[in-house]
Amino acid sequence: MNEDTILEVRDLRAEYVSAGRRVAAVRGVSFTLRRGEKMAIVGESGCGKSTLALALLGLLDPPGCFVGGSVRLNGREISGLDDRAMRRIRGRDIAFIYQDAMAALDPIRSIGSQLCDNIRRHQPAVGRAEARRRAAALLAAVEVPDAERRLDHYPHQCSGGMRQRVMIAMALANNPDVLVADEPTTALDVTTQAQVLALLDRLTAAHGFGIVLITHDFSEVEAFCDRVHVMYAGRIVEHGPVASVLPHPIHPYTQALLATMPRPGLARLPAIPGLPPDLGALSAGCAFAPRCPVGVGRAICTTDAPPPGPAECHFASELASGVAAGSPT
Amino acid sequence: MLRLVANRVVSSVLSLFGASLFSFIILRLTPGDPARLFLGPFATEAAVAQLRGKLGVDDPIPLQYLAYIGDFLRGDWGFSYTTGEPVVRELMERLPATLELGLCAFAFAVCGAVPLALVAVHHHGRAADRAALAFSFFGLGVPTFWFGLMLLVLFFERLGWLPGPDGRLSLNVAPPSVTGLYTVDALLAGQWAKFLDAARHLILPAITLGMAPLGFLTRLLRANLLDIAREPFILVARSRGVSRWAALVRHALPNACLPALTAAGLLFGQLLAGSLLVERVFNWPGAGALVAEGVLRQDFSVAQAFILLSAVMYVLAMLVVDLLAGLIDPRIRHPMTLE
Repeated sequence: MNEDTILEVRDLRAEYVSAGRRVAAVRGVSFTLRRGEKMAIVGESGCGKSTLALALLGLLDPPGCFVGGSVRLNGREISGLDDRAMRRIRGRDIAFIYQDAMAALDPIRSIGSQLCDNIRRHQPAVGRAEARRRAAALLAAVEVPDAERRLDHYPHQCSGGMRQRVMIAMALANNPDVLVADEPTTALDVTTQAQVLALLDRLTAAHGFGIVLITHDFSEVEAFCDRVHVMYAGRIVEHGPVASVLPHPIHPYTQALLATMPRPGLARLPAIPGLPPDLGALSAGCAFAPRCPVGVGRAICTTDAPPPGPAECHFASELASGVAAGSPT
Repeated sequence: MLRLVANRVVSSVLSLFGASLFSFIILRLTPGDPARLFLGPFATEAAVAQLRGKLGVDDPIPLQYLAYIGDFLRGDWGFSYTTGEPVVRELMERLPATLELGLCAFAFAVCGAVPLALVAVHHHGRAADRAALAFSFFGLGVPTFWFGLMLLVLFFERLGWLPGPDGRLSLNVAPPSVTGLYTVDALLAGQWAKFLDAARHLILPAITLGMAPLGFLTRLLRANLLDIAREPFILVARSRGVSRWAALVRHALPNACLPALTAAGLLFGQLLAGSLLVERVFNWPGAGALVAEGVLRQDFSVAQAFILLSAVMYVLAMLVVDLLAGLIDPRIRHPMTLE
């Protein structure tokens, strides 16, 4: 294991019971995150990426949820820890940014009191006045103007972008090693999106934590991340450096997903035919097979699970050589 | 906040004006000649006319309304037809008893409903939740009369822990009257034994009266809490290391209380209006029994005064509710000032 590795996830599985059925939302996810690294998990809605975020934080409660596999934070196994132990880790070693900043703050408590609470929870030695001073400094660090005065404001008095900055300040309050950001920009308008990402970028460089960015937007991945993991039906189907996966996707799903990205000169966006599979009733074989243009008519796709690798496809090498020949998509 | 207070006070005064107008109209619409009713069928026309003049029945309606309001504010609420006592004295003797019982019943309901709802939601879908629900159904459904008697049988007759249905005190010597609430007056006078006696007399009637509000508030708070517990900010609070229980108590509960406040205010107004059944079972000298007797004996001036008085109680309760909501919810205190 590399010195710089701060988060190592191996074969993480998460299931929950919905309408009396067990739904396998995360089915054996593995990845490694290094200090200062910005990693993306990309996928459509319902592919299990938000469940993955909650599983990393240990927020999937039994009964109703089952989590298996290994999550090592700074070399320490945290999967399977009891809630008491996890509470000391959450918000201190691993922090979370929720997708909808409008709904992520307690509407009836001031921003300052929520920030101070969070500081004092993990640093009980910090006094009230000191916590308030640090809270103001945190707001200033996330580029909130007039930070001192903002502390006494309530969430409903702040714009969406402002609230997301407050959320980021809160996540940074105890100098975490890992930041899990679940679609931190979806609820924001485009200009604010770019500002928030640029802010996260600067903060990563300054503080050296690692980010797991969960998103459905490849343009965000392209602009912001070092490595990308493409998730489909609860599995990472392709991963690699952004610089190689985005220009040369191998897995048919990555190719299809990239093709749906808006680009100049494209009159009409192609859509991936069909729907993501029902995670409660997956059959043997490749989960993408029913929608895959490559697998049509090939028996192995519906009978065998694809072999592990950078791209989880029975025909990865064939597709890779096709890429090498210069005929992607 | 000051603006909010001023706003609510003005609207409360307007509500009271509406209530007084309503009760006045009801009074005026009652068929029959009050002077004739008062003097009986054999009085001479001259006597009736003289009384009509004295009662002001022939004055213009707006003038009559003003006189009515003036009398009410001055504490001149008329005389009881049956006892001849001034209504204000009769009511003021009984009202503190009703008030004390209503306050205790309300405290019992709130202090019971909050922990019950919290435990139910914390153990949602499990045995504790079902038990809390069953208990609240029991509270809502159990006949007050029967429940009060059962409490008496158990705690007075069998166990002998609490006093029987003998009113507010064992030896009927009230503590020096300041507020009229015996527990408070006894404390103010430093009479510990009297305080304990008054408090022990309050327990069973307060539980009996508070049982249905307890059931109602538990169900309401539980439903609100379940809704709020699904809000993202609860999950986000937990992602910062807050325990499930602490997130429920510190973040979900204050938010869940907001919609329950109005209901609690209405319940409070209702409890202050007194309850005939509970007063009968425990021989509690409250206003409920007085008003019921007044209605049965067609002693309208008692009912009349009580209607307006309970309107005042309701309006005051709702005023407190509105101000509390403003205190809890910054969105009411500082309406949208998005920068």
